[in-house]
Amino acid sequence: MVGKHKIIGKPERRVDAWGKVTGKAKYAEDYTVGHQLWGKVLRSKYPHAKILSIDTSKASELLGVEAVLTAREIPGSNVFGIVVKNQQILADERVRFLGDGVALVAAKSKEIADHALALIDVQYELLPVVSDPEEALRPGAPLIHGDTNEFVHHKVRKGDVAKGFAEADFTIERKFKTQFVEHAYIEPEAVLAEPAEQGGVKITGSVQNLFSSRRSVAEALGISLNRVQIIQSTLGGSFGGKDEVMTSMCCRAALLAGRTGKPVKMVNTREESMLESYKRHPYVLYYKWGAKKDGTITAMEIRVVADGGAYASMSPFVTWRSVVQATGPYYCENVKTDVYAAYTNNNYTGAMRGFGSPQVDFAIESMMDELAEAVGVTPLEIRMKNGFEGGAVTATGQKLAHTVSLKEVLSKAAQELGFEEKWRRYRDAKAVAKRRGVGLACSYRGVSLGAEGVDAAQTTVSVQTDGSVIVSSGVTDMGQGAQTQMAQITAEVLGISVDRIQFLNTNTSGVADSGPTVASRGTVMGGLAAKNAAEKVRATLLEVGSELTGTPVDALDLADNYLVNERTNERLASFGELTAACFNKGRPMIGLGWHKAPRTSWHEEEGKGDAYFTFVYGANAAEVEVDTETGRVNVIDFVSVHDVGKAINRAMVTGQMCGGVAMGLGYGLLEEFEIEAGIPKQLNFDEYLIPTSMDVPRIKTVIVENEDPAGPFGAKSVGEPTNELAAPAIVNAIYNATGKRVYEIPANLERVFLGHKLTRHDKRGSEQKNAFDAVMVESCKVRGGSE
Amino acid sequence: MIPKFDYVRPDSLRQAIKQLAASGTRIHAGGTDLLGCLRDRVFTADKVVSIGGLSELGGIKRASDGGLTIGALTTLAQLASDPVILKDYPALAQGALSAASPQLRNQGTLGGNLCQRPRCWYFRGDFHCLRKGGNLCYAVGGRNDYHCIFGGDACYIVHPSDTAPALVALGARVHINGANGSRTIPLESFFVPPGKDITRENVLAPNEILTNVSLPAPAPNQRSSYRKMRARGAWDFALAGVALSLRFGVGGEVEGARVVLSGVAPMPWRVAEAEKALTGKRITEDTARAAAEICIKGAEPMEYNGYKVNLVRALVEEALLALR
Amino acid sequence: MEKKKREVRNESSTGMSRRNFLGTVSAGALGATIARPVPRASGQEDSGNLPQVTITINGRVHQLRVEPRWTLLYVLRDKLGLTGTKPGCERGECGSCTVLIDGVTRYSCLTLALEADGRQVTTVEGLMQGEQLGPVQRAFLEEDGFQCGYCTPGQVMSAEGLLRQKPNPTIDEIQIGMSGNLCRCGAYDHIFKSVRRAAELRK
Repeated sequence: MVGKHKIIGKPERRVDAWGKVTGKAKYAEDYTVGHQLWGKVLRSKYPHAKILSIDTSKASELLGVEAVLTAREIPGSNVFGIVVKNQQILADERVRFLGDGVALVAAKSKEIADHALALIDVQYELLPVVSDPEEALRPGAPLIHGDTNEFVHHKVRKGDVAKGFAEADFTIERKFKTQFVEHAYIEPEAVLAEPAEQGGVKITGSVQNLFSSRRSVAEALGISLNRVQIIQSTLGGSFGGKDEVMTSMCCRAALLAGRTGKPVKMVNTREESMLESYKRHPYVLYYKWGAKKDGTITAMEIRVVADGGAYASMSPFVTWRSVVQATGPYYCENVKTDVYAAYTNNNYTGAMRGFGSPQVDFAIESMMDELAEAVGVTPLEIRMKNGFEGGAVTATGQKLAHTVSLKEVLSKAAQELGFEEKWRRYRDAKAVAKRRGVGLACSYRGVSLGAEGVDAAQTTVSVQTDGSVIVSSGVTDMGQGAQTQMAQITAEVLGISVDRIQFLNTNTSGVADSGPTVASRGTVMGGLAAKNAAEKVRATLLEVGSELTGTPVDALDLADNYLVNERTNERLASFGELTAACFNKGRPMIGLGWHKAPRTSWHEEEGKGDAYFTFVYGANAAEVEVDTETGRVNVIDFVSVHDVGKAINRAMVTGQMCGGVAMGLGYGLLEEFEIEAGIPKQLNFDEYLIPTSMDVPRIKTVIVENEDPAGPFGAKSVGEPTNELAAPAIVNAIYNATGKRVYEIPANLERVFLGHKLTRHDKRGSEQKNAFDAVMVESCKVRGGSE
Repeated sequence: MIPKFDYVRPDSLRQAIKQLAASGTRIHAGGTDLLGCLRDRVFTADKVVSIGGLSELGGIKRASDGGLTIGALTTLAQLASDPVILKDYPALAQGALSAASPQLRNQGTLGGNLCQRPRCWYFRGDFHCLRKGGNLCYAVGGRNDYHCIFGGDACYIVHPSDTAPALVALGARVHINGANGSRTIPLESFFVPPGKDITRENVLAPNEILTNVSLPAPAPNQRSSYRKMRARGAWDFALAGVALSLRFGVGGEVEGARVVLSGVAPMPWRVAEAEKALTGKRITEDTARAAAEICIKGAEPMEYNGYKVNLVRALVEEALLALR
Repeated sequence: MEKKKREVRNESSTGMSRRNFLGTVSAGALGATIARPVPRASGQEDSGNLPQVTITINGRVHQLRVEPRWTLLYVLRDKLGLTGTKPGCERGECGSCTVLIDGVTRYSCLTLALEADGRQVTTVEGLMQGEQLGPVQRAFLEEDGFQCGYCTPGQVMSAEGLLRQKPNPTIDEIQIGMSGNLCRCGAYDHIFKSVRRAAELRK
């Protein structure tokens, strides 16, 4: 197969490249229609409060205001949620975090809308705030929903941990903490909702998961799914982030369009975006491992508490991936893992690139280095000793039937960086101010949704009479290049060049519900559906070709834009001639491709199952220089190795690998969305710092290809695995350099310098600290009074 | 959108000063800080007086005494690439280059950089803090990661400028024109500590304009530098920084020194004691370390900014040794 | 009927403003805004009273009346339909709105339209050479210098500005020159390659 491909694995340009370098690509905010109104949201004033009353009368009277809506005016269902339906389009009785919407305005201009918001009088009764997930699980904590804040408890059980610890020569017990992270897509959320001719609504917007958003819009308006059309505009980044926050924006815009009968545009400012959007989950992780002197791990007991924030969102799925992967790709006979998620009054947390793996990978890979030290071997040796090989049985009892390339990627990463030699040298180096260190991290990662949910997708290939091709899919492109991959797959099957293909942005009325484009499933699911669709068209074309030329079908092939006789290499007809003939014969040149993922299983109570139909393997190696006098960490060299099954497009795979490392580096060293008593501290890029061109080191990328029959042409995932290993690799490198381990990320100056947060220095501020929460509430009240 | 304001673009300095007589006016030079503040409602403006077109405020000129006069409208990009500044006053070029991003350096002016408002997230946020006329500094009990460790007094901002510490180290003077005439003062006394007046950061009256900055001629054996630590590699304010200007004698001993810290105090923070300690000595690891220790003496870190003490010590030592 | 409608007297003191989800709008500030004239939706404006500017954009002279507070970004996108220039933060912190003013890179979100009066503005649309891509655009296309593409117009303009000043930048100069444009997809490595390629193509 390898070498036979004409398009797969070749450096094809992205199908959307021209639009993106010319500025012609249309993102949501670029859509403008005549007589459009501007929609705006009045958000909560407090992180937790009861709504006593909402008076919109003054706002409604304002010149230029065409509609003011509250929860009461929603014709259909006000609640949505992919797993647990507990999020509201507009809060009716209670607000649970500062991003909650309370009322909507549609007006002739943004400014009038903003002014109208200020005229809406909302009376609140303050409720106690809980912003720490562990506190939220204690008895007596303020309740966010129902009678308990614990809304997820996933477990994995294997063997007997008591026995495992009894067999151990020693144990290692550690606590780790991770932070809130903002997706920070550069394009803020935007939609344009237009009343449709036959009733219903058409929405164009920066929506990642169109079908779940459509369902909620239909329910909110109380109409059927076929009357809600959502078209994805070119998406300016998402990283998992444009899901629920877009669902609520779609619903709100649709409600305003329905009420006014006019198009309504809604655009978040960066501040609104950061205030309302969901984040990556902060985790508190308690890891206890038992091991033998030779490094064999006899038991792992793991407890994780995730901060779910105010709503369930994707937490049940995110934390499920965590529970499945919490032990890492390492053999252990006795495992007990419990992952909890708790409601708090913080921003809710949901899908973000990595989806529950970056947090556990930080803990696992830190533990693995500690184990190496305890045993007296190198980080590479301990991983080679404990790492999975073909046929391994995971903590969930799944036997790995695919090519398990963990050791291949590990040794390649180590080799590329010169890890072993450097690690020893740096460990033994003199304690000077600026010290170097190297670190290693690896992982295995389940591909696609796994037993998290229904996993199927559709792609349509429609060949035109002139031989040009239109492809559309329910799997969406957020910049990761899904369209290009599907176009390449289609071109490969049809024997045409990629430039013949026009890819349509996803339209919910044009393709079948294909689930969410998450979990790095784009290539596998969309790609296999595209392959399936193209193969159907190919079969028709070959049949027609046979009828035309009298050559038997099995002697025909489509290649280089021609119908060819495979045996003689004779070109029998151009692709365009063939498609014209096909049309004239009245044969269908449209292929509906469908792919349903292989069976997976999960037993929630037993904590066992075949969680994913296949896995990918990756390893990262980092070299850092740490200034031990300041805590400053410079990443000077970085190697990223991933087994992607098969690289459909090498340039794009490399792009994903570099991008994943950049984001992972921000996670490990820089980024922290701080929430203080339910109130976010950073709402724009001057305070929430993401890596610049000066922060990302040269990254050496190594693509490993062990083709997997579960993916198109052997391809698997790459988007998320690239994002989960930079932080632990860097933290391990810091340890190699300094001999101090960071247990809490980001590893910023103070954590690296002291290994922990500095505590209060002296008299100053101490007496006022206690009064601080009260003051924050007071300042809310002052503002409440001024309106 | 930014709240409404009127806009005038006077064609002479005199006209500009006249325009400033009305209350509620704000000066627009490069506009980078002004527009951010207006958009964020840090303060309001009834009228914006754009001085961007005043040629009398531009240009870098050799003065008759061998010094340099730099117009207030000189952009940071110009400061960072001017051959004379690079040669004679490297601390200033380094300060300008380490500020903000290329685009902001193309736009932001020297005058604006010296007069920019503090970056405290409570001051910039919608907190009615002391500096905005309220009765509380939220940083005291809240997140004070980026606040001062020196010179705080009821308010704990840091001065955000990277050019100011360099200019103070280089002995700059600023020229101010106003309705009541002009004055020239050392840049050092241009800044107002919170203990003196909590609502402003400099001595400019509402109807005054900083027109230019002058630097004395460089001494024959003068070396200067600016070193800054920030959380990310670019486009970030100083967590801590140090500007040095050292005059060396023939034997390599320090004849005169200026040590000015940035990012740690409400104004460029000169450490006279460290300057004294360095004078008459050669720079060795020991004297550098000793001077660095002096620089952190009396630091009063808050709950979350103790790391700045380490930064200052390390930066000062490193910067001194680099100038040897 | 119209009389009954309350006139819009002040801008929102809440709502869209940065960070004002919490805390106070001081009485003084509120008073000051209330005293100011009415913002009206476009179409209702009495544009005759607005100052006029002449800006050359991508070689074409535009004369238009602008409100003093309008940024160049707003005018480009909302008044002239040049939507290639992207808003990302509207306060000079992301770089996606980068344009050239008199050949030098600037953030259009932090530039008042009035300040561009009489000047030459170049946007991503202006880099096209007829129907053909300009060299920087071509380089970004060839080197896969983007992913989602949202920051790309800004990146392309920064590269153009950099290359106009330094036709043969070193890798360090490229890194510094491009440091005013965030890319969350993390395409920096490909962006650097694109700038190097663009330098070749411009020769």
